[in-house]
Amino acid sequence: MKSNKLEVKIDDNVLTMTRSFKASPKLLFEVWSSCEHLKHWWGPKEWPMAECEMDFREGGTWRYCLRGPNEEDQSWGKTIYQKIDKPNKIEYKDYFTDPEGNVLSNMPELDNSVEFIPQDGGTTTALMTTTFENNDQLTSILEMGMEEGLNSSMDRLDEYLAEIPTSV
Amino acid sequence: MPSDTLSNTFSALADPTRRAILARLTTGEMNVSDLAEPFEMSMPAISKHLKVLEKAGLVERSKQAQFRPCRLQPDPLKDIDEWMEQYRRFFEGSFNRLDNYLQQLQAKENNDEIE
Repeated sequence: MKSNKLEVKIDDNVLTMTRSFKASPKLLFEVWSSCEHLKHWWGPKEWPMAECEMDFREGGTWRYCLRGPNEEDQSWGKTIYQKIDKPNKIEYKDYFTDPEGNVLSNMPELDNSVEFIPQDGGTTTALMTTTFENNDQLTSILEMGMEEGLNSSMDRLDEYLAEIPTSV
Repeated sequence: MPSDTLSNTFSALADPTRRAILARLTTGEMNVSDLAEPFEMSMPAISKHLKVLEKAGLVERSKQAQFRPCRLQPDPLKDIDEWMEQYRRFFEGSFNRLDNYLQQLQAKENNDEIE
């Protein structure tokens, strides 16, 4: 059985995260596709989901708001479902929005997918991918850190880069 | 997170020459002609790349000195790093909660079967 650690990898312009769960693909698909379920787990503990509206179908929209510990802490997200292949895969676009649902143009638009892959022993791996529009956006950051070894002010980036090929 | 800087940084980094310029500047500050030396490129072409890097806040040029040496300004890169870190933390936190939630759901399902 794969460990339940979150693994992050970068390959070309695709950021991949894998994580295993003790559940069937069917159940994982279910908890990923309704507000009823998502409000129990989407977002870190300190940033629970305060609002959620979902129209789960191809072309449909999911809007949600996460609220943080301070009153002004809120983060609005919008997801538009592109392709739904129950219970295997969901393809979607992610946007950051203001409370009215207007897309914040200065934030990256993310092309995402999540795939549920059954493993031995009743576990399922969730494979999430984020594709960056520009082939070079991600690799450039990596190349710079790895080839040249940046100076001390870049220590954190270096540490982060060193972690990437293995599990995080 | 200064998000406008984030997308500026992304597009500034998209070009291999600009990445090579930044890499060269990690060794210390340099004037434009020294900086241009390894590149098979005209000075105006290099200056153009430098302007893009300056605009994205990745390179600073001294205003006083005669040769206006260029210096790497790593803050925008750290913003990208931070953004990725936040992204990772978001899912790490969510998935730990999901583990517990799945357990609850499955326990409930088992109880329902017993009843």
